[in-house]
Amino acid sequence: MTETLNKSNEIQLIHKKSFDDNNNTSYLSIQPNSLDELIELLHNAFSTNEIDIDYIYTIMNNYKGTINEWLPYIKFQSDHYTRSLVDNGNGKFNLMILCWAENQGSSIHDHTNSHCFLKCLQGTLIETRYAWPTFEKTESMHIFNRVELTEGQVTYINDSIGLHRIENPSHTEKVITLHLYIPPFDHCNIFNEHTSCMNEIKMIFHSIREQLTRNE
Amino acid sequence: MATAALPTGDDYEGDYDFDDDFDDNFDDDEEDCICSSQTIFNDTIDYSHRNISKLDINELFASTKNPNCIKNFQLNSNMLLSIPSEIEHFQSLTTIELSNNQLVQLPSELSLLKNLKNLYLKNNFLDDLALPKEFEQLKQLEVINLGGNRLKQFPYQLFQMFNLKEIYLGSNQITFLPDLFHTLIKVEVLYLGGNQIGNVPDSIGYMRSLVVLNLSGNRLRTLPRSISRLTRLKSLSLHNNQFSALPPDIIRLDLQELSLRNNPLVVRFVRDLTYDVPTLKELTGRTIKFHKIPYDDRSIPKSLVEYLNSAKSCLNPKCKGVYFESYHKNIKFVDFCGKFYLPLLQFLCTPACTSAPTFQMTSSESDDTENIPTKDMTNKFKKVLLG
Repeated sequence: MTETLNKSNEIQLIHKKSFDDNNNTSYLSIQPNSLDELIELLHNAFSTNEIDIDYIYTIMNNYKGTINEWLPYIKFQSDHYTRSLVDNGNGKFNLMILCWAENQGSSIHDHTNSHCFLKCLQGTLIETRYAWPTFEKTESMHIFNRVELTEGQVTYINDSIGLHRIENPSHTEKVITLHLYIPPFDHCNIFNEHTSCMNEIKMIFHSIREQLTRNE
Repeated sequence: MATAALPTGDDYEGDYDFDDDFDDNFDDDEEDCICSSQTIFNDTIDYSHRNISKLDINELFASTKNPNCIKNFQLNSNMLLSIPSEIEHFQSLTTIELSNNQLVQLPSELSLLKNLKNLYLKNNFLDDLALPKEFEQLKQLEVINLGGNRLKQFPYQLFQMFNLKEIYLGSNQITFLPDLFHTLIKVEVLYLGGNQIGNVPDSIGYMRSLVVLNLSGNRLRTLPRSISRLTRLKSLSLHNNQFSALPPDIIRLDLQELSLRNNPLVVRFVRDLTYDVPTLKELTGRTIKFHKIPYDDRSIPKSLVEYLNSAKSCLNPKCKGVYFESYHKNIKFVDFCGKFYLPLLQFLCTPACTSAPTFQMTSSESDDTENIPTKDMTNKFKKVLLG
């Protein structure tokens, strides 16, 4: 399916029969052999304002990469996972690498009306999906899915599907993930699992295109 | 430039006589190390990822003209069941990487490596008996990683390693922590996640250099009050435990990161259900302290003097009372950084103390009994990962 980025960034789904039927990306490769090639394919896929979500999923899935490619973006901190921007997609998308030291995890969060693709590059992580709270009363949030993501696997989520939490379950191994957000966003909501209480937060990068950002 | 050629089998026997004392032959000062004249640049032996199940000590000696040049052994990701005791001859070793092997035992000769600073033993099959008692002689050791092994106890040898800075014991089967942490005054990182620990001892409060404390994935219900003495603590991981409330001392810490997800945190105000009636001894002690009646070991037995000195103040600032063993546990909700209410556990001398305004960290009066931390306090908690 394709979707159009409009000014208000609302999700508009246009159903198609199959993704290689007369669409913009049928001429593009589906096998990125390097991180740079993946970035190039993404830029090409975004050359118009129509995005083929299935194509994006396919190239994210097929991308294999080596640790040498990710080295400039790899930074582990003992107190929090790090986010390093790889490419800002000319404002249409953000590609970033996240590094999760032993047993680090995220809050439950939404995706500010954007698409989120998440690929596990190294290690194994757990994705727990939560239903949106009703906000009618204080109650604990409902889990509707919980999966293990192994190396290479890709998962996709957006606000209409629900919310999620990402965790590195290991106490001995580190995890590296690749995230693609369409369009980019710098703030989102986090949720308290016990009370469903929601709060907005601003997200920060540890580094942007290999330049360390000033620590907030 | 001549490269170091591996001696043939014929050569090496003449070069190495294990009965010789190596230190007699070479200066301890590494600048005079003979390896510089033999053009060995690398101070590392890297045998990692080679699928080897046994380390051939002869080959090891053959790969370098002088074992004293070697500072770094990368032996990780093999299938090693043990390492040879002759490793003691590599006296300049500062780092040994043995993670991801199949080690079940370690030679006591490892303890003779006086320069060893970093010992990585992650993901092996080491149990409590695998670590030799002599390990406690590794007084210069700074980093030890024993994650992913089969330890059921916190290794006692570690308490003797006074220069330790980082201890990693994640994913073992440790159930109990001895109350001996007062020696570990230089430790900055203590990783105990993924064990079965039910209790944290008081002596943890003596670890004044601690910056990162990971207690996640255990069976903890509470923390000792001494945790408030860890003034350098920045990151506290308590997720995946059994905390229903937290000691209010946590507010005194200067934390940047606190993770609490997956704990059965109480979400509604809960009145404590049980209150054990104090003993006569307790009531007498309270009266003596409250009225400031003087006492010493000439008027009463020494044990009672010690008892009276052990009195703890009621957390209610308007109450001048004290308690000994019998206290009322109260859960009060504290607004953390304006985000969530966290249940904190208070110890009060009587249930009546709960009706008064709760404890205040500063002298400013607050009408809102739920809202404890001042702005200064909340700024200290920059990031709180909750639920």
